[in-house]
Amino acid sequence: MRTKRTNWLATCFLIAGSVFLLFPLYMTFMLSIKDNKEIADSVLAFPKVWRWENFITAAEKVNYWQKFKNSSIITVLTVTFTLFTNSFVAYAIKKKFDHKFFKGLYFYFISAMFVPFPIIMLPVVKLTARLGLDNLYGLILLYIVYGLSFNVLLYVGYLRSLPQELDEAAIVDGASVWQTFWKIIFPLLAPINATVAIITTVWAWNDFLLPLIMLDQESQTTLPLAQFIFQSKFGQDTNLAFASYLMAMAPLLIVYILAQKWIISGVTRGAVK
Amino acid sequence: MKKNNFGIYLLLVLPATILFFIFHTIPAVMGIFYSFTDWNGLKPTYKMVGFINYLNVFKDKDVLDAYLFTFKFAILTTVIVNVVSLCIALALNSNIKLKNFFKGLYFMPYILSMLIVAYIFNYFFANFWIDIMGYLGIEKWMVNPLGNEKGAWLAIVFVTVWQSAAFNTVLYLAGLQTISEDLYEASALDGANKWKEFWGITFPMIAPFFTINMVLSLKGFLQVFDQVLALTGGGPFGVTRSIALLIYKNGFSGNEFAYQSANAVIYFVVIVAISLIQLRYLQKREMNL
Amino acid sequence: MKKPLSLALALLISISMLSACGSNKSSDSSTNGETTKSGEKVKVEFFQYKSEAVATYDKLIAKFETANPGIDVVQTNVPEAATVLKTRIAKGDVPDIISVGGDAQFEDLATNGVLADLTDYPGQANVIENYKKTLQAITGTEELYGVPFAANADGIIYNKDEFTALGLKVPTTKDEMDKVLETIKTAGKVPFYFAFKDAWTAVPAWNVFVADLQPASFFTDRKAGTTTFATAHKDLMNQYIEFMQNGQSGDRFTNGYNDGNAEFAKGSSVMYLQGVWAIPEILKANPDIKLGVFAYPLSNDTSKNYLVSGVDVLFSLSATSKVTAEATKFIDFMMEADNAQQYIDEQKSFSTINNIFQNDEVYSDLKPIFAEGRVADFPDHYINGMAVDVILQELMQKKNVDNALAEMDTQYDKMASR
Repeated sequence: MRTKRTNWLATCFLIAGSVFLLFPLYMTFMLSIKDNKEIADSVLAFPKVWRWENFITAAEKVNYWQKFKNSSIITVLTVTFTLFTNSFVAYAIKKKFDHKFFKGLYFYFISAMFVPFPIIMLPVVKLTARLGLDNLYGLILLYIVYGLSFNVLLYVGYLRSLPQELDEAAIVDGASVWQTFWKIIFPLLAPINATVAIITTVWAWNDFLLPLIMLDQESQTTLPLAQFIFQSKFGQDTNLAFASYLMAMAPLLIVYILAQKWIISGVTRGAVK
Repeated sequence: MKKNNFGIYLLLVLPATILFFIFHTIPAVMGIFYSFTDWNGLKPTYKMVGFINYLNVFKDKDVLDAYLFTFKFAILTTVIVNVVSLCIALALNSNIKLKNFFKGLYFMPYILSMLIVAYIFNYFFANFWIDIMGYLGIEKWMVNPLGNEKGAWLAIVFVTVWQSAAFNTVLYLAGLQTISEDLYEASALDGANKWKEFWGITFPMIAPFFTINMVLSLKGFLQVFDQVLALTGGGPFGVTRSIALLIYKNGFSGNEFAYQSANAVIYFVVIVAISLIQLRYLQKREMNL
Repeated sequence: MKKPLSLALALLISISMLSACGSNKSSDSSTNGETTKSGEKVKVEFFQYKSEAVATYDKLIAKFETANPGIDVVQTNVPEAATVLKTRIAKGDVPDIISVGGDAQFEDLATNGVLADLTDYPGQANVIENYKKTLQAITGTEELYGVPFAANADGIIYNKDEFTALGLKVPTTKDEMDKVLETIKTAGKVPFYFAFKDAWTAVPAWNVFVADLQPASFFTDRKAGTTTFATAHKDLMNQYIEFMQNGQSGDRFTNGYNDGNAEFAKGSSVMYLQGVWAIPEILKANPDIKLGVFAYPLSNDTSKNYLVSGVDVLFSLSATSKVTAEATKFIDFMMEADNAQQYIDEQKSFSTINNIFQNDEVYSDLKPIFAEGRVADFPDHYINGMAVDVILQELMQKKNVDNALAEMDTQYDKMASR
């Protein structure tokens, strides 16, 4: 009985909210597609000439494809390694949670979530430099390691919701811990892996402060960092700046639009457990 | 057998733990160590100065102002984000047209970079806000809020809510979907109205989600950085300088590395304390519901 | 449901791999020129903080490398240069040549042993004495930790066409300035455009008020504790506030520096209170605008109306550089007459080197002042570490002179006690 009637109040509320959400994006697009003269006339009107060449100019100015490559390498490698490493660390912790050491380890990782980044900022820069890791790969390593904090929390929570007997049976059968994990547990982790993958992707792609202090070679900078540089160097070219912002957001937006349903259900399913 | 296993599990976690120790714990300890020195981040030598930095932090008006702003900001944003996202989640969970489209749209801000979102709103506030307020006839607000003493922090709250409500919405939605229809049908027979239904059934069922959202939001907003840097840079005259921004700006570009390290240590203690208190309190409430 | 995502991911990966191959090659060839024997080249890193000057330096570096094929000069220019430099120093990865302005950051670098002592650098002989003194005043040392290369000027930028249209001529005394302001306002135009969203945009004018109007011995007295900002600066701050009332109507905190330049370029005001560093930016926004610069006429005694000028660019060497000889060679090259000339021509700044003059039309009003030597140093060197910009921004919004002065005294004492 409840399921049949459309809730028009809620629908209207959501429509009103969409205007709110879409306006900034519409404004961004309109700013990026005009010349500065037409912007001065009207920001929101459709342009007389669609200046797609703004995107090409902006791409040249920020060296877009190089930054895109850097951001992609960072994101893809970070996500891949995060999924494979963080999950079995969490698995071990959960299996041996009765033991003081592992329980301690759990709280050790989680409490690190509360350490404000500024306190470790300069020491990390010093340390990574000494180890020759002040580059893309050092950055990836830091993301994987720092991700442990939150991901262990997510994975352990999810693992607890799984039936206990599954892997114990396997271990009794003589399979090693390593085999048991990859063959039995890891496939079961698909929903939470999706959650972790999404959260990590968004983080690694959009992060700004860590690349700012870690990467000092222009050729290694990421897309958000490039926007920051662009903003300070070419701040007057509103249209190019916004074309550049749009291009920095586009890759994730496209992935999101293509896989939207899967992404939302991924986050949702992970969260329920 | 058991002992044997323990060794294997230890082997599994050891590499990650060691890396974590090297790249997170050691830097944190180094940071704490520097807070007891007079190092400015540049000179080759430094000496120990005991608790002087800590004493000075408590006397510093800039630090005090940064704490006030950060708390004011974090508390208001946490409340608004959670109210807004709960409303959106409730709406999305009801029988609406274009459900999947709306779901997709309302989660979209989450994947956007806070820095870029802030740049976009920077333009919005400088160019549209005044016109909108003029159209609405609110003359008092016809200024760029980002350059205004009273408006700047609210503008930052606004942008943060725009970007951050998405993630909480999805968590609440997940919570709402765990509630079975039967519960509602039973109450519908009892003649309970919507308001009662919400507080009687819905809210208690999603209370764990509420708890985790509150704790994570507040913790996150207490560390606010990107949007402040991009929107106001801490201005006008320092009224929107968050603690993270102050530590970053004065500790790195300025000459106060050791001093701001002391500030960061205090900040850490504050965040942990607040999160623990919040967790305790909310979990207690959860049980009482 | 999983297909679209894996498809998208695969796409992302393959694109990134493709572009990885593609851009590797191109970046190699662009940075190292035509070299396969890059191993034999000596690499000199040139870290400089002016984003406006990147293209000019690129040209000069190319010229240098042609003449010195054994040396590869790599220019580094990043935003937040101060932060990046600090992290680099923390790493022990100090750039070979560091080019900053004569400011607080230079003081930090010099007094913390990051920079090499350049007192005996032969090139110093060609530098105008005054600018060397400026550097000594900033670091508070006898030694010179850098060699001044370019200077700026802090005057009033004006729109020449507007001046002609209103029948105005450049004022040289306070009375004439008042008349100019009056005429502009009567004509329904705006004298100054303000962009106070960026706090520091209130500082250029303030620096001139302090340089021209404060008691000569103020900083010595303040250090000795015999005077305060509250007593010695009150009068000039009142004058400053009154002067700053000639801005556009409405909200002056809406726009920042970049927007302010653009607004002035499109004619939103007749004059603009910024240093000459804004001129290339204004011209970029409107290449047709005819600009001029004159010294602030704050007094009726023209001899007291100083042009404030400071070191905009200096070159210094890392104390730990392993390629000092090659780095010095590059500085020598930059200090050569025609290269220094090219720099100031393109950057519209002034040279700190004897007998190299800025002949641009824009600066015709300043020439006699430079010739006369009626030039003063930026006074805020003495108060590095005070947030004068923030105090002035608050002053412009609240107009409370006493509070602003009290805050200056508080911050001065705090700074002195460190």
